[in-house]
Amino acid sequence: MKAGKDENPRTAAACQSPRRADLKLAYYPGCSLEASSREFGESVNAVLPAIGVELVEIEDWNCCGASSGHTTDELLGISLPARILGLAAGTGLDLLVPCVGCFKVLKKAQHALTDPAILAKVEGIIGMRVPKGIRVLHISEIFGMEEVQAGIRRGLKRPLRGMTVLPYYGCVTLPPRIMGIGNPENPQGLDAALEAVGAAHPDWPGKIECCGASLSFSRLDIVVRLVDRIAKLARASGGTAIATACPLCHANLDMRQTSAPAVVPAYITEIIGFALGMDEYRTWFKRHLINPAPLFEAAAM
Amino acid sequence: MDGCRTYDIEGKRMAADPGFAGEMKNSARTDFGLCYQCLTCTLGCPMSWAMDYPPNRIVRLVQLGLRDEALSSISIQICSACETCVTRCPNGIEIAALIDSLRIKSMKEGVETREPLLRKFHKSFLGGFRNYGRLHEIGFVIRLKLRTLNMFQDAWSGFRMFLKGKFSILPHRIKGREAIKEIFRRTIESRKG
Repeated sequence: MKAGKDENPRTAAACQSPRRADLKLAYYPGCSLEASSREFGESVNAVLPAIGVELVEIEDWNCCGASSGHTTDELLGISLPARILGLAAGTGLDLLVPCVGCFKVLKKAQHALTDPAILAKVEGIIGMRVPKGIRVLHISEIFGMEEVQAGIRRGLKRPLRGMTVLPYYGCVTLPPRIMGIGNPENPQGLDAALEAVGAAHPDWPGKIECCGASLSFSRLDIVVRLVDRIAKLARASGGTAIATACPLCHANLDMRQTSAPAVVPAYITEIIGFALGMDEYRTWFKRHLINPAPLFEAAAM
Repeated sequence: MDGCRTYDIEGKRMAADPGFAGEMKNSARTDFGLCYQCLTCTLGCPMSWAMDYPPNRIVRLVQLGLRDEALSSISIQICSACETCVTRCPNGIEIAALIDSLRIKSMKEGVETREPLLRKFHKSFLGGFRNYGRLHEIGFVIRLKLRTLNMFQDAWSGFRMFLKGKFSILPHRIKGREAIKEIFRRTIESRKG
């Protein structure tokens, strides 16, 4: 419930006037947003209420199992997210998920649960009903909504004019039949958010390239090659910063670039928070290995 | 296996298991018999350059019943499940589901893999939240380091991230952690021994 309120007076000040929320969503943060990507979680909690999106964190949520769930056992990989879906159903709201990994696991579980035999087995395992029809939204999707874009424009204090930020989606749209996010090879949600904060966001070929995800822990060589390629595409497209909406994409871009000059990754919610004039951006940006603060401060001058 | 076909692949003579393709079709629930080797999957795959058999050849191995070669491959371990192949396949073959099924089978049957690190990663990751309900990142990384005995990779960046307050020392225990343990007991743990 904490997400729904402005605990920090500076956040409240950043929002021109306290308005009724335009959109109310159930919220599944996922484990990373409480730990290694705390700054993503904190910026989601600060920014979304300020642009008219009220969040209701679902109670007692669990880990979705990530790739290790579905890679180890099919039913384990479906049951863990099914419990989350069951809990979310209790709120009667659409479910917002900021992490691409969690989002894909939840969407794929929903798809698998359309098979009545699997649904019956899984409901038995988790001891909970999993109603159909819960709408699961990735955070990049909500920026495609006009009322959310209007919320960003309304509170804009530090527009990022003159700065080129490349929207990076990773694998969130794939496969389109299950993920259902617009054009799978050219998604637009993050583009819309960057447009609203006044940054240039040209088309570029790295939008949906794979970052290597959790191979960072086992086959670092693969991740380094993929990440360096994404950085190279970004530089060639004139980008100095990359907007991310996934803890794994961000961690890989933040930790694994070996080619210079490094392209600076920042979470889309941190970027919006900065543009809305929130001073918490310093705390968020300081936690990155590549600190985006100098670049953004220079652009806002 | 009497009367089974053998194939010479990469200079190795391999015996085919005639039941393998059928088994995989049942567990992956996708018709990979439709593959006509157009190579679209492999051309779009971000990992194909690091694989021993790119996706199109994994499909072919399964069709031919070359069980051991498919189950021990590096490819099925390093696939990151980005699903570019599934998205682009003109015949709608769920290649990622096939790879998931191969990976699960390979682990359950204890097949010796040419890329053992990934199994250690997944075991450590699951161990990092089985008892708490949410992932305890430090617990996960310590488990992984003990399994791989690779203490020094990322020690410095990990330490920097620790100083930046990115990790919590103690795990967050959810109220429903019994329910999570029960999920483990009734899925992977019920099949052991």
